[in-house]
Amino acid sequence: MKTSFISNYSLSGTLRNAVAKARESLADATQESTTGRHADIGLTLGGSTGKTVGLRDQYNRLNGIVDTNALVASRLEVTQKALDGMRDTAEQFLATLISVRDGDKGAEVLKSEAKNNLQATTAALNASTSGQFVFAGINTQQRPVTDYFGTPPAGNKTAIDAAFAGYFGFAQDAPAVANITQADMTTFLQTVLPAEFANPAWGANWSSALDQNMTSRISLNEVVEVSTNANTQAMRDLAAAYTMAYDLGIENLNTNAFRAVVDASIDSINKAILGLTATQAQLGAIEERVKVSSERLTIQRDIVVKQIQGFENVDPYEANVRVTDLTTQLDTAYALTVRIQQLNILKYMS
Amino acid sequence: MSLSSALNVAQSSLTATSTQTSILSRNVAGADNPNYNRKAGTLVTTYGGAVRVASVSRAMDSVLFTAKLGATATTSAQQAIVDALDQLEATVDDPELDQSLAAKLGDLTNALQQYGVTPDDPLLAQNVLTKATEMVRSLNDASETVRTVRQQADADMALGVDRVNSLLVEFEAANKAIVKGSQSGADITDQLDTRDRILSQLSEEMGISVATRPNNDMVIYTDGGVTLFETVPRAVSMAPSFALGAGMSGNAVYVDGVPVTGPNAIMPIKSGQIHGSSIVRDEITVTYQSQLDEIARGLIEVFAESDQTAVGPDQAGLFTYGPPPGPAPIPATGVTVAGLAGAIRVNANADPSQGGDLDRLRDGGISDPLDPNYVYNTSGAAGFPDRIQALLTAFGTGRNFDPATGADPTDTLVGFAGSSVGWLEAQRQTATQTLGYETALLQRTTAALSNVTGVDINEEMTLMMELERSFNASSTLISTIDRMLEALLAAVR
Repeated sequence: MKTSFISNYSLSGTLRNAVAKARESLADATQESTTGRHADIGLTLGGSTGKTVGLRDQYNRLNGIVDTNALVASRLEVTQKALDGMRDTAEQFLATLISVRDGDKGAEVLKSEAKNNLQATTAALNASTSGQFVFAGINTQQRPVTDYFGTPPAGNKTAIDAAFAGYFGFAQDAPAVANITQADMTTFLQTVLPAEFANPAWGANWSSALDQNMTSRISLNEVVEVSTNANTQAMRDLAAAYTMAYDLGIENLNTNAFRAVVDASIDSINKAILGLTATQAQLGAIEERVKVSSERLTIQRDIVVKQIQGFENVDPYEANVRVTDLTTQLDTAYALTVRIQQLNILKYMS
Repeated sequence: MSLSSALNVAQSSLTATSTQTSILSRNVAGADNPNYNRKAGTLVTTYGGAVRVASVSRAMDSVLFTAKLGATATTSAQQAIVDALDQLEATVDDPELDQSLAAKLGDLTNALQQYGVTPDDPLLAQNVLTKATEMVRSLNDASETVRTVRQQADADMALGVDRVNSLLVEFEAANKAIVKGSQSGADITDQLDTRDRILSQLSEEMGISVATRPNNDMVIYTDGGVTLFETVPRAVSMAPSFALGAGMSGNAVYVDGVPVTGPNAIMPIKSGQIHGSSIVRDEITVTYQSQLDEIARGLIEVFAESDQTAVGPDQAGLFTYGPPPGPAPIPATGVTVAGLAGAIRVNANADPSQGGDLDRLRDGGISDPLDPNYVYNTSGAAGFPDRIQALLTAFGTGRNFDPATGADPTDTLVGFAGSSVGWLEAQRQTATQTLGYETALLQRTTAALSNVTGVDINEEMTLMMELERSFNASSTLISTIDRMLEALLAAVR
């Protein structure tokens, strides 16, 4: 008959199991108190792990967009700087045109300034940032505007020459230029010349830029145009104003015809200045949108970080307390094991 | 003649004490054996007041023993499931490490976002390609992990079946000896220990219930009710599957000709390692594989290229599958294609190292470079952003997934991948918690059974002292009777 309800095996087994369990928990608690995160996120969160994975993805995505927005902003700034330059040049040219019309300055001054300005504007339109031509529309790997002063003469130069010769029957530097009447010149300026700055001649001779602008995703669902291009009307007007002043043989024209050219150039440059201002305002609005979007994304990102921490982090104080508790528990278990080993009737038998 | 009768009784006491001491030694020897049950000699008084050990009894509690068998079987099943889930969790790892498929999808999206801002930069295109390759590698690896776990579960089941068969053979021998011993009245307690040990080991492999018939003959049934042993072992069989591809179902385990695992089981087993492994092989890995396949299909769908003249069907773009040269069709939406996660690859037409062209990432035409209708960028401009932006939009658009996968059926691709992680971790959490509970139950039951049936050395030693006293007393009696007889004989002489 058995009188007791304990066996050696279960006595040692119980202690062994308790110690094993405590050691396992201690390993986890130690890790948690050092990293401040759950030892096994998946096991602790279960189905919610999908949520933290999603939040982390969102965090990376927001970060990515904030980074690309910085790039977009710097590109917009380069564009704005270039437009600023063009507008300043155009305004000075307007002043020169007015003083020339009033007879304060001569045609030579106007022609040389027009040449310089056309060169400067071409250079500005061909500006690039990190290998991208900013005024090229989406055709970013091609220099958008052809240099008017290239050797051999570029397409735009030969086309203007051909148009002039075609209409008047002689070249711009021919002595017969002095005989052009104001009416003839006006007709030429109003009917023949504009075609050189309109499609398809503009695309063929002046600009390889595409009308489609670069777009960028500046927030999760917001895709905006973030560039302008060399094909806008303002750019054509600018080129027309400078070209008229430079290359219609103004130094040889009679006063009336010269007047007609200057008036047409003033008209053109005025439209160009208005157009440039409008473009700058439009780009400024986009710059603002990018900035606002980045700020909003940064705030969202910070919230996401808090949410991730809410899911994954443990209270380090609690983890520390757990380590202490478990250590005490293990100490007790070990001490008990020794005591129980000593509790043996064999010691008292002789 | 009362003196000689006293001598007889004292002498029988000596014999009985020796027998009991030998039983006691057996108990001490078995103190640390979890399968040893405490033995005790049953004393009976015979003619003239003499005593003898009539039989050896064995401490047993059949209720606790049955409970222990059940707890062992459920714990083994749960352990198999938890082990498999832990292995599958390698495809997710700590969310902080960004190793999950959802995180890889995020990497790919971010690479596209950067490329979208500067579409003329070949380095950024290369980055997109690298992330795409990484994505495919992760999917292929995850699919391979699932296949390995599944194959392992199949092998475990086959091993379990072998073990059951060999244990049943051993059981037959022990059972035979017990029946024979019960008929002849011999001491069968050690054979009973052996038989119980075999039952414990059997229950690790499959859940069992037992019934005892006359002469201690035992019959074993599976917990589903199929006869596993009756006088002779019944055949347990399973043909191992050598290649368990995605979408292929594994072979069922048969007991006595009846299928006991898988969807066609008539009387399915409900616990034991074989049951746990069959859950892993036929349910968990199959579901998880279908989730991976759906992620792969979603990826192919997001990167699909459409005919710009709206004549031909959509074709697989950057991510494709099937034999290399021709353009692959887009699989039907919302329907799992078994094994797609293992078959998906990056289209060689976009990979310069395989003769492709990186610019096709921006321009389209990856699916079939020979067909200009699938090219999006007709102007050839280096800054063409539309295709990349459309891909980013497609990433952010909700789409349909197979509801049978158990993950969110209508979500974005990344959302679906995230909910797949949630599904896996939820399974793992539940299984691990259940295992903890089952293990505690098993430990409790084992301890309770051991308390009732096991040996306590202190008790044995106390008994030993009693026996020693009894032996001393009997010896003293004998020598006293001897002296009395001597005195009597001396008087007679």
